[in-house]
Amino acid sequence: MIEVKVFGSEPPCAKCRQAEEQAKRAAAKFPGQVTVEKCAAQSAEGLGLVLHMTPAIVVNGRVVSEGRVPEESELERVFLSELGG
Amino acid sequence: MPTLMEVFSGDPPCPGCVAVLAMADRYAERYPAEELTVKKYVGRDALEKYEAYNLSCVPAIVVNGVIKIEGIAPDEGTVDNALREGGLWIR
Repeated sequence: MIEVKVFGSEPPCAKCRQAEEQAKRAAAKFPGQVTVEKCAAQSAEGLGLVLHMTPAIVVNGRVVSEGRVPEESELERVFLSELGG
Repeated sequence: MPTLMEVFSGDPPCPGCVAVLAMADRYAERYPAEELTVKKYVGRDALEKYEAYNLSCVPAIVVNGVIKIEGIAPDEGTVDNALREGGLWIR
């Protein structure tokens, strides 16, 4: 199972919302294999990751994008590599 | 009755939020309290009011309880118009 966490501001800014929706759209291409969770960048976990900008997308504990909204295809490639594809 | 300007920002603030918070400070300095009340809601402290207004993202500006700006950082001309509609005499 791939665990995707979208770290953003609280309340969310427009880009944080877009990043979350983009992650959910990409995850929908991998039914039952990817979970997406919205997290606060100022949470203990967020601070522990030393994020420099929001939104940040973390896949299985690894920061894959920060301060921008990644393309859906970019996230799909990350998921495929995580699945060993 | 003063016009009420409520400003919402995320935490950590995005560049738009920083700009809107600075703008709120400028309006608070420019207009006396009897004409304009400026309230700022930042981060988790904002969530209760944010949900009460059913906002979907920040930065946001609410004038007299009516959502005027949401999701972008406006220029002062746009905010002037929003406050004018809220009864503030713009100068």
